[in-house]
Amino acid sequence: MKNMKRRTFLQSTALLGALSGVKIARAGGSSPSHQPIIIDLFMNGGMDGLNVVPPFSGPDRAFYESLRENLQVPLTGSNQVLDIGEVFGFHPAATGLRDMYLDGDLAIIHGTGLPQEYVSRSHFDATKLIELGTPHNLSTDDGWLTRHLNSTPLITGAEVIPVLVSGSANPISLQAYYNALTVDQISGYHPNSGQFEVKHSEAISNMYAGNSALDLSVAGAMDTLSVISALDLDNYVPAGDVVYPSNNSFSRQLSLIAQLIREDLSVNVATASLGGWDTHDNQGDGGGGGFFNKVAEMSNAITAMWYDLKAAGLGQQVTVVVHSEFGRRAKQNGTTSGSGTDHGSGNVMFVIGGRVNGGQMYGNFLGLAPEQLFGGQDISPEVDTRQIYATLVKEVLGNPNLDQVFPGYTNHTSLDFVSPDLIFKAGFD
Amino acid sequence: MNNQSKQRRNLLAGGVATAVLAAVPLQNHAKNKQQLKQKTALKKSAVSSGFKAIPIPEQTFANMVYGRLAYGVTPGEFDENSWSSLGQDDTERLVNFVNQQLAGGADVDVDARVAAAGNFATLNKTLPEMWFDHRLNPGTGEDSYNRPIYEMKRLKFTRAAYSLFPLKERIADFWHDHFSLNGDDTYARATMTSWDRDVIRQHMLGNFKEFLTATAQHPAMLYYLDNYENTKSAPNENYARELIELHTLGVENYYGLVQQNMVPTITVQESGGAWPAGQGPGESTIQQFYVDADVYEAGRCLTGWHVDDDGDSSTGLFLFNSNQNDRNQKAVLGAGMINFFADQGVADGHNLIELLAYHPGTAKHIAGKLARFFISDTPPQSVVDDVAAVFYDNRTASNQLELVFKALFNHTDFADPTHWQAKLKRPFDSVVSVMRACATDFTVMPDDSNSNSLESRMDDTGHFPFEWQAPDGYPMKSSYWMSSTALIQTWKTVDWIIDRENSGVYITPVKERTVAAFQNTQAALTPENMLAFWMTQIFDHTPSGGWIGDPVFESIIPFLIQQPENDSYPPWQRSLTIPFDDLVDNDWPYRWHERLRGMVSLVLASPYFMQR
Repeated sequence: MKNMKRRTFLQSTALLGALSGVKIARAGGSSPSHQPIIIDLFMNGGMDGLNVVPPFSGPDRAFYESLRENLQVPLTGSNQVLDIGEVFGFHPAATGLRDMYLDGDLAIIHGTGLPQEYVSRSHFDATKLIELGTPHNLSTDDGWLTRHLNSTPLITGAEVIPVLVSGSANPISLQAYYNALTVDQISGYHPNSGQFEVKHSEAISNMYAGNSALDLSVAGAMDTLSVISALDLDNYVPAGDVVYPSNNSFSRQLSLIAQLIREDLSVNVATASLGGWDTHDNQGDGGGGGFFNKVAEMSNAITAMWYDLKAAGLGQQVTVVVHSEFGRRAKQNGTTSGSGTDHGSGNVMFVIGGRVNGGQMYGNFLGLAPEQLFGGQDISPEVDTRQIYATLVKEVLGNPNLDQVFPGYTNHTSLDFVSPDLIFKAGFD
Repeated sequence: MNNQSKQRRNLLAGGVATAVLAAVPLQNHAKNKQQLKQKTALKKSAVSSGFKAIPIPEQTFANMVYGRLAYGVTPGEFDENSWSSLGQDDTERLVNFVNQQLAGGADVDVDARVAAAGNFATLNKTLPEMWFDHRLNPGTGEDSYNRPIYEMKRLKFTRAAYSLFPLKERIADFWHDHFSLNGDDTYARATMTSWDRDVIRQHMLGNFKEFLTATAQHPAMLYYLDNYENTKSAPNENYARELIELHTLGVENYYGLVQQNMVPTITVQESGGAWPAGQGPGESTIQQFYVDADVYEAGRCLTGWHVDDDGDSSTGLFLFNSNQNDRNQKAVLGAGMINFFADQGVADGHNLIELLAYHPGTAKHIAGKLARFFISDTPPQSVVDDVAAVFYDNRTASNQLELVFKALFNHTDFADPTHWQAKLKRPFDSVVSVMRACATDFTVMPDDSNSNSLESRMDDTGHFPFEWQAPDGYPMKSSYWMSSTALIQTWKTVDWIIDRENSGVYITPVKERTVAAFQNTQAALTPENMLAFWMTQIFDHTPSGGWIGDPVFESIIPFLIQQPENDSYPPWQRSLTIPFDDLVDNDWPYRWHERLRGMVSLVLASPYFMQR
C-alpha cells in the first residue's frame, strides 16, 4: 500500500486543482522532504572509462600511450588531459566533472565492474547482471533498486512520487517495480479527450483495477498523467543561475529530474540513461572527435543538474551515481586514425553528492602493464559494483538490509567515500 | 566451473515458470460487478502472478489467431466469418490460414495505396541504384540521402494496416528486430529498401544460413556493426560478437572468458568446411557453448568482408578485400583445435556462417525467441524444443524457416488457451490493430502532413520503426512496454487515429458505422446499445450473456453518461435513447459524437484489446 499517499494527494489536491483549472501550489515542506535521494545514471553502450579518466603521470601513462596510439588523450595541446593533482586526470571535455571533483563533490572510483568470475562482454548480459545486482544470476525477477525500495525503512508510504524515471522505459535496476513515474517529456502528456478527460482517465483506471503487473503499471501511468497535469511544469527556473545545455535530450532528462525533485514530491530514486558509448570505430583521435562530444554531453548535463540541486539546498540530500555496463579494451582496435575500442570489463564510476567525500580517488586501479590487465586486455575489475552501491544503500540511503538488496553478496566492507558526519563535510548547502 | 553458464543451462533445462491465468468466462454479471468493486477497493496491495489484466471473455479461437498471427480482427477480411470458411474445425482452419498467409500473393490493397500515394520512389530500385542515387549523388526530396529509410518507415505502417498477408508482416517484424539495425545509420538510410526487400523479405521464410549470409554481406549491416572496417591490421570484433551473441547462438550459449578447450563439446553430423573432425566418419566434435576467444577468432574470419564503397563508381555491393583478410589459421568452436586453415580467403567467413547457422545452440536460441514473440514471454519448453528440432533437422532445406513457422503455429502449445493473451501488444502493433479493427482509411506515406503527425506521436511511444539504436532490436518482453510513457503515448496515438480528420473527413469512420448500424432502429441508440455494438465490432464477438455487466463495459458506461460541463443539464442514462441528430451533429451540450469517439478509444485502451 505504499502509494496510498499519492492517491490521496491526487484525489485531494491535484485533481481538484486540475478540475478547477487552478494549478496547485508547491507542496512545500508537507511531505517527507529530508529523505535521501539517489539519482542513478546509466551510460549505455560501454563507456570508455580509460579515456574519461586517463592516466596523467606515473608508469601507467607510458603504457597508456602505447596502448592508445591514436586514441590517447594528450598531455599537451588544446585537448590535453585536465590536471586534478592526481596520477589520473579528466578528459578535456569533462570540465564540469573536473570542477565537481575540485569542489570536493565528486569521487572517482576506478577499476570497478562485475566480479571477475562473472565478467561478460555482452552489453545486454553485463547490463542485466549489474542492474539486477545479482552477478551470479541473470534471471533474478527484480532489480536492485526495486529491492532497495521494498526493504528500506525510510520509505514511509507518504511519498507522492517515490521513483522517477526520466526516459521512455524503466531501467533493469527497477525491474518488477510498477509504481515509477516514467516520463520522457512533459509537454503533451495527456489524452486527447478534451472536456471529458477526467472521466476518460477514470474509465481506464477502472478497467485495470486488478493486481496484475499490467494493472499496476496502468495505475502508475494514470497517476503520472494526473501529477503532470496538476503541476505547473512549463517554465522551470533552475537554481543558482544554472543554465542547462539546450541542445540535447540527456540534459532535458536531467533538468526534469531536478525540477521534479524540487517540486518536493518526495522522490527517493531517479534514473536516466545516455546512449552512444559503444565506440567500436571513429572514437576520436587525440582526445577529440565523437567521444569528446559524448563526454561533454554527459559532463555538462550532470554538472548543470548537480549545481542546480546544490544551489536549491538539496546538496546534502542528493547523491548521483554514474555507471556503465563495462569499460572497453585497454588497447585500441586499430593501428590508424579512426580506430575505436572493443568491449572490455573494468571501468570507472563517479559518485557525486554532498554526503560524498569527493575530490579523491577510490577503488583499485591495478595498472596497465600487460600482466596487470584482466585477461591480458582489460582494466581489471577489482571493485565489485555492488560494493559501491551497498556503501550508498547503507550509509547514505539509510537501508541496513543489504542481504535483501543484494542477495548473495556477503562480507561487505565500506568503500569509505561517504562523509560520516555532515559537519566534517564542507557545504552547508 | 563457469557459474553463469551453469545457471544458463539450468534455465534452459526447464526452470521456466509459466504465468498461468486462465481465461475467466463471464458467468454471472452481478458477481462480476461485485468482483470489480472488490478489486477497486483492494487496489494493488501486491502484484499477482503474471502480468495479465482481465482477459477478454470467452475469447474465440479466431480472435486469438488474428491477435497473435496478424494485427487483430479486420472486419470483412479477418473475422469470425472468414475464419469459419477456412475449414471444418479450428485445427484445420489454422493450418489453412497459416498456409495461405505464408504462400502470399498479390497484395492488392497495399499496392493500390502505394500507387495512389505516387511518391514511394525507391521501391523498385536495385541496391546499386539506391547507392548511386542516395549515397553517391543525393539531392533533395525523392533523391535525398535518407529517402529509402524514410519510405520504409512509412510503408511499414501501410503494409501492416492493409496487407492481405499480415502474418508475413509480423514475421518480417520479427526478423527486422532479430537482425536489428539503426535505420538512420549512414549506409542503412540510403539502402533500407534493399535491406527490407533483398534481405529480410527475400529470406525470412527460406534457409537460415542463406539469410545469415545475406545479412552479413549487406552494406547496412556491414556498416552498422563496423565489419566494413574489420581488417587484419585493425580487427574490429563488433559484428563478430553480435553475429554470435544475437544472430545465432545467443547469449544463453555464452560460456564467458574461459579457454576454448575448457568448454564441453558435443558431436554433430557435419563434415567438410570448417567442421572439426569428430570420432566417426561424417561426424564433428564442436564446443557446446562459445567463449570470448571464439568471438575474436570469428572476427578474424570476417576480416576483409567489406563494401564496395570507395569512389564515384562504387556500387554498395559486398566486396571481399583479400588484402585486408587475416590469412593465418583460426580456431572457432573447435575446443581449441585449428579448424580454419591458412589462406582460405572469403571461404573463412562462409564456413563460419555455416558453423553458426548449423549449430544446435542456434536452433534453440531462435526457437525460444520465436516462441516468446508469438506465444508468451514464458513459453512452455515443449514448443521451444519441438520448434528447435524442426529448425535443426531442416537446416539445409531451402524452405527451412517456412517449416519452422508452420511447426510453431500449428503446435499444440500455441493452441493451448493457457497461453492466450499472454503478451501485451507493442505500441506499433496496438496502433496498427486499431486501424484494422476500426476500418481506418489512412495511407501512411512520405511528404504527408498527417503521416508526419502520426510519426511524431509514435516517436513518443518509443516504438517507431527502425529507430532502435542497439543491435538487439525492440524488446519483445511485455514488461518493457508497461512504462507510463509507452502506455500513455500509445493511447494518445490511438486517440489521434480516432479523432483525426483529413480534409474534413475523419480517417476512422466511427460515426458513419454507428449511423449505419442504428439508422433504421434509431430508438435503440442508447449508451448501452452503442457501446455493446462497438465492443462486438472491435472484438468480433459477443459473450454469451451479452456485454452488460462486463467489467470493461461497466467501466466505460460512466464516461458515456457523464454530466455535461454545463451542470444545469443532468447526466444521461444508460438505457435512454440518444437523439439521433445529436449524434450526427455533435450538438451541445452532450456532444454525442465526441462521447462516441471517446468511448471507442476507451474500448481500444482496454486490456481486451491491449493483450494478445
